[in-house]
Amino acid sequence: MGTTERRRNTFTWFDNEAAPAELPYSRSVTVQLNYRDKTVTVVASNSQPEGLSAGSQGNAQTTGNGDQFIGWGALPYFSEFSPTGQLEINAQFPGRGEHLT
Amino acid sequence: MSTSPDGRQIVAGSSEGTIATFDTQSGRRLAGPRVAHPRFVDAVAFAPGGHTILSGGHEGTVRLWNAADLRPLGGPLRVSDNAGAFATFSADGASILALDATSRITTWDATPGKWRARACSIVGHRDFTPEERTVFSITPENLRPCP
Repeated sequence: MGTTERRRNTFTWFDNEAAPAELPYSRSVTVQLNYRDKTVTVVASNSQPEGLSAGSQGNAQTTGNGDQFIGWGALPYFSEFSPTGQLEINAQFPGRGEHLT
Repeated sequence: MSTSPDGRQIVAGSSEGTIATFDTQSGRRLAGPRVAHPRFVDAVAFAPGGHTILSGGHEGTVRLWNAADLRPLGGPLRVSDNAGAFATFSADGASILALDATSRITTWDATPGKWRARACSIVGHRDFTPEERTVFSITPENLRPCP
């Protein structure tokens, strides 16, 4: 599969793995479709760093430098991973009465 | 919620079926809220080029929108019957993938040429009527007469 075809057949999305629970944590997945073999292959996956599960509203997005930015939806966290899956940023929004330090 | 490739806009979908875009610097609403789906919105995404937005609705359709004003681009793309429609663009923006609640995958070729060729094939390779332009057009190039 050439680069153009690979990019055309590569999709990334937020996978809450919840409702019903499949894994105990949410993650992003990047898959590649192969129309010839009629197969779908998971080529990358970034898991919620605290091992938590977000029931809804998450989003995973590839940024201009190839990183992956994930908002964990119902969980008050956001993370950024390098293209090789290294965690670069992990942050939690403060609760009421709390402050980021 | 999804951020535009240049980081200047976000698009958000609501549990009421509406979508809206916002300026990331000021927080000001840029377009919408527009009713996109009859039930709640399962997914929103900017195309990598930033000019098109897709939305997936829980009633089972995917819709495309002009990112600047949330004008609809074509009619709903049917994915499932009330089984959800999570959707996203491919890495190059040339394909759309949708997943329903049964994990069935549907894909569309989103390149303007292929889209127009398909529309021309449906209408029988003649000029589009004004109504068909609304249903099928996705970019101004698609408004040219069919070969």
